[in-house]
Amino acid sequence: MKKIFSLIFISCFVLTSCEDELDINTNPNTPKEINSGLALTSAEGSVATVIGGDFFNLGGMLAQYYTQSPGAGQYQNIDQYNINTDFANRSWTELYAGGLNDLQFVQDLAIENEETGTYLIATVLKAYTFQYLVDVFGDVPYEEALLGNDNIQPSPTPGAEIYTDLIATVNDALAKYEANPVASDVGQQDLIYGANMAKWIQFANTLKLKMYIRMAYTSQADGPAVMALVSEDNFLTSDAKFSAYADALNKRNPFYDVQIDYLGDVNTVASNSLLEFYNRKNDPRIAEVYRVNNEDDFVGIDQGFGLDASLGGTLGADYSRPKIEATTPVYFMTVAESNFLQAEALLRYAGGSGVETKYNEGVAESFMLYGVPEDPNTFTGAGGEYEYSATGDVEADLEQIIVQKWAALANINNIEGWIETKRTGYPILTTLDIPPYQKGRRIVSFASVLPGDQIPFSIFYPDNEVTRNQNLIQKAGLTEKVWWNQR
Amino acid sequence: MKKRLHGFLTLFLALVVQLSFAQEQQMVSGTVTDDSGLPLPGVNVLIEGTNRGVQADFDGNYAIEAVSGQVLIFSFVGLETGRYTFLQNPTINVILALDAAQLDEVIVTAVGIKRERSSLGSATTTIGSEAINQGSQSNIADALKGKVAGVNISSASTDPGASSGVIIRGTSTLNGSNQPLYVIDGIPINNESSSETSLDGAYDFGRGSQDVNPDNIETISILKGAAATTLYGSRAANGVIIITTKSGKAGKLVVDLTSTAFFSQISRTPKYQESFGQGWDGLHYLIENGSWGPKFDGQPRVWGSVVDNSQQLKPYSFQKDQLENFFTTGTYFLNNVAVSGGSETSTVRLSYSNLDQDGIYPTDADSFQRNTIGINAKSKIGILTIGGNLNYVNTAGSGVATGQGLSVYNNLMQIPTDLNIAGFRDYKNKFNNVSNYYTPYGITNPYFTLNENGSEYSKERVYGSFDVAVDINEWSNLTYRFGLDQYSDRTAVWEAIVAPVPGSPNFGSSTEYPGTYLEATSSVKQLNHDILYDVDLDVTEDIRIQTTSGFNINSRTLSSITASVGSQDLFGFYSLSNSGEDPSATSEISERKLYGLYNTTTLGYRNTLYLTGNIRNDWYSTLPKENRSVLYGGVNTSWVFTRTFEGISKVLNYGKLRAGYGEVGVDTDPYQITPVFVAGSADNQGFRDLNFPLAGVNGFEVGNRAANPNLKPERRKEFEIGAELEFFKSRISLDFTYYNATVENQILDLPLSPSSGYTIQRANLGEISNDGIEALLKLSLFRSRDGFNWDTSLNSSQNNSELTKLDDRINQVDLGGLSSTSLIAIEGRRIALIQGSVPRRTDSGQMVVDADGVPIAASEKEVYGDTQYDYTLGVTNDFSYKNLSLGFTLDVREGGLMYSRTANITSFTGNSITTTYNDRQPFIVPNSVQVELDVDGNETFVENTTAVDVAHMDDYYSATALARNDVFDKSFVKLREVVFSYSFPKKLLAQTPIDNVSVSLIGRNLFVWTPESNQFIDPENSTFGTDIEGQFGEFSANPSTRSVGFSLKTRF
Repeated sequence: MKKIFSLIFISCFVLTSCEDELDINTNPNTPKEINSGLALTSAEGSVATVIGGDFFNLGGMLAQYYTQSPGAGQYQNIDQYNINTDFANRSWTELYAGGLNDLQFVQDLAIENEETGTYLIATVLKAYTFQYLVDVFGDVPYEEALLGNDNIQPSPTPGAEIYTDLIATVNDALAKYEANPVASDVGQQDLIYGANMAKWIQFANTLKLKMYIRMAYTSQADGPAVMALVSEDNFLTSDAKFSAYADALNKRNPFYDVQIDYLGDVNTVASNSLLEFYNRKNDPRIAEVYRVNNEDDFVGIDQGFGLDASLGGTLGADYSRPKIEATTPVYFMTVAESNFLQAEALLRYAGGSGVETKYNEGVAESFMLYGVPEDPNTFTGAGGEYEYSATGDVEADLEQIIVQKWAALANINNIEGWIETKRTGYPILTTLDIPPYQKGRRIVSFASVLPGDQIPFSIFYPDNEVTRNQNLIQKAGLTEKVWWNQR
Repeated sequence: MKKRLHGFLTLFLALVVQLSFAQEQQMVSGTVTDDSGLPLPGVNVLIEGTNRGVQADFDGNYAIEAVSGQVLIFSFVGLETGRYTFLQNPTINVILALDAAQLDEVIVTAVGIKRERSSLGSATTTIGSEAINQGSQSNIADALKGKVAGVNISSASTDPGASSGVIIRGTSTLNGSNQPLYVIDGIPINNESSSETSLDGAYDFGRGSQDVNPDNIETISILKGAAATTLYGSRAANGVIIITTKSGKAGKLVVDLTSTAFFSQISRTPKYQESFGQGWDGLHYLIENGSWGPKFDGQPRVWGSVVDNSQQLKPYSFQKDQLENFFTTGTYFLNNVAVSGGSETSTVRLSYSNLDQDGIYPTDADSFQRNTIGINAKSKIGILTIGGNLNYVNTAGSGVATGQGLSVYNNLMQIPTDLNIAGFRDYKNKFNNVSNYYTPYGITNPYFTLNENGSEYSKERVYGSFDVAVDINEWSNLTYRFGLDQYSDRTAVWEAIVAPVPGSPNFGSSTEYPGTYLEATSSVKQLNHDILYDVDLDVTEDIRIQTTSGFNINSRTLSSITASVGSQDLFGFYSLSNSGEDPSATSEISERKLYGLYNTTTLGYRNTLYLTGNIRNDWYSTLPKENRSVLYGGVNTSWVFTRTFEGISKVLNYGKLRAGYGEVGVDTDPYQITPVFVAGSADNQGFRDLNFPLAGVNGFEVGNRAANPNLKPERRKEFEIGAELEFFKSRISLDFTYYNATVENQILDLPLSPSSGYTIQRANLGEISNDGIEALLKLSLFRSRDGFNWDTSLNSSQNNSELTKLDDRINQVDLGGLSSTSLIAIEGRRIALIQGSVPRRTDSGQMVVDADGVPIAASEKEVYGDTQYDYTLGVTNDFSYKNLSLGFTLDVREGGLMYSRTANITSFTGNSITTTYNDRQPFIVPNSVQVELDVDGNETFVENTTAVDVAHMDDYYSATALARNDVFDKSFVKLREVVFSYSFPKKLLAQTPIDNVSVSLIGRNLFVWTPESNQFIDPENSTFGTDIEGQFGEFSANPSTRSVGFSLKTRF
């Protein structure tokens, strides 16, 4: 027995002396610390991937820029308005646990180090992202979100409150920066504006305008605040875009990498809603939004009709497909969009004065953005297809703005295109057998499984969230509207 | 041979001597049998007072020289010793009775400790070399299939080199491996799986345990419960498979040669409908990859693409054995050679084996080779015993990918039922090449994919151990044992560019593919040190104490590098450099360590009553510092009551009762408890990612794993009772066990709601219970010395794994599967469940259909059922008559569900026999309703009058609402193994240098019976690995095979 104890004793001795050798549980594959710039880069990448990927595809079909091709069926559930509860798993996760979580990290670090410039960038990007979450899903976790272990089941915050708070935090970040302007040192790690603070302030202002305009049909509409912004007139002067793509696996434009490269360019084809609009207006943007089919023609399909048996045997290549390339940038906000926002602001809150200018600039900027050489004035000038005609009726005038905005967001920011159609109802949803596409019309998808002429107004919360968060109750259906959708 | 020669020489000499010197040495011979008349091979025959002795041969015959008046002593372990005096009669036939007191076989238990079977208080199954090698399997797990109760062995597939998994007594963890610990000669070895379970191309190159050559195995002991496994610490929580390898025996040099050849064929394909051919929506389209076309009319019709203004012609009719004809005969050759021998003090054994396998796919795209070389030596020098073994293994394999996308089988199942698949063999001819292949769907010509895409795996492995033992005194010794297991492997996977010629039918279609190339290398090392102090002391005449104390250090390290490119430039050359892209590369290292201090003590009373206590303390590097040290232990007891009540031995010749309780602590993987920053990346629609650096800018981000500084080890607590009973001189034996195990503090990934900013946290979340029974019944129905023998053994087990508790913060644990139909665990339910979409129903149960009459899915998914077998049964029958023997094993598994992509894809393409309801004439879904909106926009239900028409038949069969159709009962009965053997009689061999020869004809997996609902596959198939997720089912798995072969076993 003595020997046993001496053995145990020896073992214990060995143990205590090498207990330290058990301290090997720090992951050697990852850094122990990172800086704001690295996290900001990743956050921008996450947001760009969703805006330019999942949302781009979803928005493209719901805004009726694209429709499901016959001969394939990857996205037929979107055209069927039968979008499942697991549809948004990836985009939701990427936005919250990817983008927003990193932006939160950048914000925290910036506050700690009193870097008001970096703080401003992170804050506006965060607000931009949260706005999309509300616009696509409705009430989402906000106040209780991003707290990690401290709250793993965040309750949703009403969308209206989120909007109010987003504007407040953006204002607060602007104020902090103005009070103590510490330029961000992230430099080129900011892949959108290269840490150019003047441009980020413009982004902040444009974003606020976008939020105010979204609230136009609600009791929270705030004309004076909008007009204050408009009179300050410090909106985007250059497009906010993520353009760091390269033609290599996992480094391409997200839509291109998946739909065109991975899935083989067989699912998404031109919807007649937009293609025929361009076509009948002789709009040169048709050739920048779509590619010609295998017979050198622009051919689309009526929304959802690709699922019809009569098109059996035809393929994606028989139709026009989105013209997105490997290195096409993902646009967060554009100057064109900013002009249309201002046009709407002036229409609503300044009695319509100056609307036409902003409208014309919007169209002109859009032409420039797509890189079409034609003179936009031939379209917006007197007698032109897109000549703005003020009728005095806000809705009638708004329709002109929004149809143009819709035509200017295709392939640029598709989800914004869809959100604006549901907010305003333009292009008008028609149930006519032969839609007057030249006026800018949407139709109820031929493949719809929803009763009557219902269309989706929001997306199901993803299963990944609902099954893990008992405080978030799944919505009744896709026709449920987000808070500002009160028209 | 020497012995035999010696024997005959002796005989000859003896005769000569007898003639000249009568009264001198005489030859005495006879047969040794047991009291039922069965020959007893191997009995030692010794002349008393001399050191001369011989062994009885296989038939119990012996021959030895003796002088009249000398005493012959017959002895054998477990038998009463017989003493016979040689007087005149030169024939002495001996009957030896079983010795109740010495019946015990010695079993190697935890940490290499040897104990008598009687002393074990927990269920331990031991399988000997003969049973292991009977079927000439190349890996251990397959060799054990159907032979051990309570052990569920699953093979992912019958592909060459594919892995087999072993799960003992049910699921004990939902996160991580449920595989047992493999211990070879006291040293734990790596058993990682080299497989890729991606849905877009899965490969399986086997598990670490498959590198062990079964031919080198003397015995396998399977320790099932915590009561027995406590001494191995965390990794034994799923049981331990203890392998003792063969070593040389004192005596002459022996050479063993074994050669095995097998030929395999496809055994099961999904059953096809024979009435409808190519097309979609009822129409005949020549580019469709499905059979939704019109009814066969047998008329000649053109088909395929128009090439050079010409088109092919064939009758529009069903192609019989369309899939079968694609496959060829697979081959399997296994050769072993071993040389062994030794002296009283030193023994050595050298072995070499070669396995060469080519699967049933045409070409050698599915092949596997393995070479093993091993040496095993032991020497006793005074009080020192030094032993060791060293093994070198190299394996190389190529696999044919399974899954969706570019996998061959997936492609085959999308070919319409009227096309002759084998006709595409010449994949370069103008109709069959990628430009003009009849369809752009389902990727391209399967022969192209088979020939041009591929994978290669190779591994170099060295493992071995070395031990030194010092006899300190008569009753104690000290041992140091060192073990090493190290391997490096390399995987390459490539897919060819598919580039149809511009202007050709497939140009610009989904057929186009940029090609890929991936290369990965990894290096894995495990080091193990044990210091053991053994005491074996008879304290009094009645009381014996056996105690072992030890200290263990175990460390495991892994490093790997993976690089890939998403395109290839030159056709036919596969390399990272053959791409315009920069390769994306990742590297990983991982290290873990544990220290353990342990003791096991057995007190024995009169070889009748035993009490064993185990205790172990572990220190884990993978747990938070505060929770790092874990103490656990167990007790077990056994009572050989037939030694207490000797009177009953006429009926019950051996009876033992046992009971035990044990605990084991279980740690987790390295680096799971602290949050980390990770390389920046974004999930792009589930198909791709966005990876940095971009434009020269790198990104890092806050990882999605939240910290958990409070993580505690899992704790497995197990109670078991059992009985081992042998009746009528062991003609009937029964081993029965009931166990009940609970695993508390389940370490699981808590999926966090993404809105928290994180998606996962490793936490203690639940409790699993497993309870079940295991029974092994052996019957010797016929026993006759020179006649007919029939042994039957039945092993059965029933296990119920349940997730008894789950933290409130989650309502289910995701275990894998697909996003649509998935594998989950829910509190209070059996593990694991399949959940999927169901039709939307009204309150009164009517099915809701859409405007086309096709059922709509309900918004909530439902659980279809669980994936556990209700019971498993292994039936082995061995018949022998003289030198002939016939054995077969039936494997019966009943209950449980599985998902089948094979069912899904053949329903989608309309190939499956299940797609012909109502002869594909329009039908109205019975008792269905449609939704209408009333004036207020509320939903109302009206009776459905819309029939599912021909154009929507395919939508019906692939409706989300009907996803349950792809999930079915996975029960089966399999004729696992049939072995028919003939051993050449000794007499025939007497003139040759050969000692033993036997030939066997072997069949494997000859038949499988499944329930009606399974028209598709061999339900054992899995592409989700061989652990818990493997229970989910298959995702276009390669078809299984049946094989027939023969083996030749020779000993010189």
